[in-house]
Amino acid sequence: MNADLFHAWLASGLALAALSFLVRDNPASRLAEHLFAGLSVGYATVLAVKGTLLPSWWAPLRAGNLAGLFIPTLLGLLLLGSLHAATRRFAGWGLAALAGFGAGAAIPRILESHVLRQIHPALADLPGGGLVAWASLAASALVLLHTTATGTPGPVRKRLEGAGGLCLTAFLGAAFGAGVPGRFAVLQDQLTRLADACRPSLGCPALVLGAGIALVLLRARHDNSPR
Amino acid sequence: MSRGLLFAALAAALMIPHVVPPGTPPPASPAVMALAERIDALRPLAVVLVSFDFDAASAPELAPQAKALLRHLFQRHLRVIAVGQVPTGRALARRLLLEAAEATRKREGEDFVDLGWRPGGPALILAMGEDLRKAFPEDVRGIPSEALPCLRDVRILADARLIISFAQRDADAEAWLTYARRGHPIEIGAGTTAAGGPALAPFLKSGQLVGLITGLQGAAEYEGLLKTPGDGTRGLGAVTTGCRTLAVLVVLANLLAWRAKGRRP
Repeated sequence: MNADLFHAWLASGLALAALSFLVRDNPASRLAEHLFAGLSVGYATVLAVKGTLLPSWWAPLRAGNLAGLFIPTLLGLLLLGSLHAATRRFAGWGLAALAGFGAGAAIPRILESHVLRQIHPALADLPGGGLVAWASLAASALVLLHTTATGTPGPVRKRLEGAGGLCLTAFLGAAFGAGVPGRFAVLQDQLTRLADACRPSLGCPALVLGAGIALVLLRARHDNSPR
Repeated sequence: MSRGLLFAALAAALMIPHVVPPGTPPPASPAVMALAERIDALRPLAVVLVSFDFDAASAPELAPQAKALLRHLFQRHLRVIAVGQVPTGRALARRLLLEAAEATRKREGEDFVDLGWRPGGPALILAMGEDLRKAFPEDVRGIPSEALPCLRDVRILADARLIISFAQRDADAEAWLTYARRGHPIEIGAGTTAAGGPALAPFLKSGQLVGLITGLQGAAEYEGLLKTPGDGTRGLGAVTTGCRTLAVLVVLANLLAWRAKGRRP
């Protein structure tokens, strides 16, 4: 069996099995889901072991560079402590060290890139920024009021909070709308691949496997229907 | 209206552009144009680091962007260093890199290198700023970085003139913005999904990003600049038809619901 043929049958079968979840949860969709999750974790683990652990830890260890490896090895062993209840508290020390190093490296840089560098362009627009800039500022203030206000509101604040809720809904709608093209792109890509896998030269794997999965779904429906 | 009908209508809408020839790519937006112009301004043999920060879940949007941009980089005779922050996307990134190199007759090791993925995220970027060859001692083929002609004058990250991150999560592109600079004047561009675009737009406005390609629309715009319509242009047609169909279905469903509500006693 050549590679193209094997790839077409495997890819079509897994894609159709995953898509069959749209009809209902079934053994084929669960198999595809578990296979994807397991393969992803396995692949990442092999890459980490082969690309990092062996060349950056095992090779220097065998070469006798014990001093340079002491701290990384100790941190790694502390993290592995989470595997057993008796040593779980040591894992916290390892995590604390990692979080501390991470925060130390991140805080000044994030302040610089996400706060200081952003203030000027955000404020520079306001004086002559027109309706959009001022409307954005007003919407932000209303959302802030909607999400943080406490106590019983009076009639004016109640309306302002309601307007904040509307702004928040519009924001969430826009965020959802921005995500739709991406999901459509994924679906279109899958459908295109399945259409390509209907070629007779490959044995029409998409059609054959699609019919098979449809039969499995029909059988499951028949078995679950009330007698 | 049954769910099956809705799925069938959407699937049919998405497949229509598959059977008709792709249309004309849309004109380039200022953000896409800025990135292309920045690449055009680089001298031949300048180093560009491309970070493939996506996997199969976002490939339909980001792979067409990466294809078009890699072709542009190679056509301009720039040296490309490929890395990635997403381990499950490495095989995909390598395929894109090799396809673009083959189309432009570029040789691995001399015109481009694939350094692959290593764990660390921000810590790895900081390490690349100190010593690129120590952070990546070898390429994906196992050839030591010291022996790669493409890296002959590249010691630290700042030796790259431009960094471009194709990021499925805006946080991956932000990691380059936050950790790669460290006082060095490296310019950074990004390609991201349609959903991730709004999160990166403020960095474009502040000048921290020199250009931004967003979603299939951005990919199609870039293909238009290179005058080679491809996956981006074809995919954009399908997604546009899908979005229009969805809008019609939403309106129709609301009308039906409104009518049914009016009939209720």
